[in-house]
Amino acid sequence: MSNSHLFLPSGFPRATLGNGIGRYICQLKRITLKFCKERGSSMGMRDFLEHDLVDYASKHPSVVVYVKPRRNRSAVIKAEYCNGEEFWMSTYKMTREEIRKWLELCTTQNDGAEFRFRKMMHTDTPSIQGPWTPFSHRNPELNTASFPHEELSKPVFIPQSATDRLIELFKEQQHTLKSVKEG
Amino acid sequence: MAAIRCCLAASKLLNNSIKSCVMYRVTRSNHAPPSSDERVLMLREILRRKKEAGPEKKYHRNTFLEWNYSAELYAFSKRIGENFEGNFLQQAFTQRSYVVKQETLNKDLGLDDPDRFLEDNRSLAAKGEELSRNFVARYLRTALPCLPEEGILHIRDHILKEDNIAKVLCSIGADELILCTDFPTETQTKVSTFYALVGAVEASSGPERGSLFVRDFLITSLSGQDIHALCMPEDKLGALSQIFLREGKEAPEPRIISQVGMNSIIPCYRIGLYSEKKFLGSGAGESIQDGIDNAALNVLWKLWDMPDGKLQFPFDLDVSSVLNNSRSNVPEAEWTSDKVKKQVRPSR
Repeated sequence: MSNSHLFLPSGFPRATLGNGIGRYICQLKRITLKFCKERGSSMGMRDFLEHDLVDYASKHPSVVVYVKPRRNRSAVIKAEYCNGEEFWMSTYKMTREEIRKWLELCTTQNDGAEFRFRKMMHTDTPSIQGPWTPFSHRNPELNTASFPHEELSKPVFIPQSATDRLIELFKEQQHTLKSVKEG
Repeated sequence: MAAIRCCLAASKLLNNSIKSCVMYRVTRSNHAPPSSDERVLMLREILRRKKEAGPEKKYHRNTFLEWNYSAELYAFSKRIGENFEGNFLQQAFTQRSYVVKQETLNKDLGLDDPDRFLEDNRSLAAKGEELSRNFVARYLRTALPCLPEEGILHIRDHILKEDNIAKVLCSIGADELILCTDFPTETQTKVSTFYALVGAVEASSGPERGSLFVRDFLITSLSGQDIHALCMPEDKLGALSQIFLREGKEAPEPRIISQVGMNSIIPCYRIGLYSEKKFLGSGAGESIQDGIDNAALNVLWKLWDMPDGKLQFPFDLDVSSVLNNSRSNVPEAEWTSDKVKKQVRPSR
């Protein structure tokens, strides 16, 4: 995540109305294809309208398709979604195939809103073990221990003293000498 | 620059009431692009006027050029996957206020044709509301058979809250199709339209299909919500003690199992509940009372067969089995384990 994305709305993967738990609802309500009848930049869009639009509309009966010719403006796709979001994209100089693919994206996405995922998963039951307390995962030995307890009363960490270190070094030395003599 | 100044003076002179809406055009003798200074000034001025004019007025989607109501209705019925007979769908979207407006309009035009009579959605809404209220309660009783009746009604009221239903209506893309006079559409209008839709589905395809509609759109709004928080009793330990006394056992006795950080700002008390020297359940909290409440809830959820954190609410129960289930759950004042066991538990 870069600094420029700090103010993007963020959250977890979500589906409007728990889409798919009940029945699947295509989130795209309506789509408006704007184009010019003369300009070259709209040629891909015109090709699309001529060859693929009827197929698209019959494949997605739940989407209302509006076609809006306008003079001397570049071609544009405007999609409106069930949650009220709008998704606008320019298809300036795009080919028919590109427009078909972008339209597929518009149809299948949740909404066009930019969104940063904090995690790529979401769960309604983050913990089936309940909230953590200082007593969770405690050593069961402690249940029957009687205090004062000699073992448990010791500090958890005692740093090694210089004398201990010397003794350890001496022992190591003896051990190596012994092994050299034997070997 | 001079041109802008000229314009400003002119707009001031013109009229204060049109303030920022005055259209102006910067005319130039030569056709060179504006220098960056001029451009910045112009943009700044436009911004100032925009701010002065306030937020842009919102228009209903049907005032747009690209709007075909019959196509929208067709797409809507396909979207929710329902077939509507005759005029039911259009009727479901027609509010009383719209009918009144149309009638007065017709009268003004001198058209008193009885064939132009528009039907509003009040009758459908009444039917749909009855079906929804009835079905949601039955569904919850089938899904949570051990929960006391009060809890069921609390969850039902939560599902049937006006805001929730309005949200559901918007998220199936129906809010722009409502024929009414109020804009922005009021919550009450949205709610009655949703019920009218349920009524229309019921009238077209029968009560089973209508119930399926309610299941798929209203019950699913419970997903991602804390169901336990919706049906929590006010006095947790009291409710638990009452159940134990009714069953002829000793009332549960809270005891501190362990405690830590009592003098800190985040102490933790772990409380256990015992009855007749048997351990029932435990809970932790920042105060002793919290701990007792959590422990009591822990036991209650176990008794009511909806273990905390492990409850998987079924969203896909068979509609016909739900409609056949006409019994109501045991009310809290009479709840005992034996009474619940007697009732036949539906297969999940």
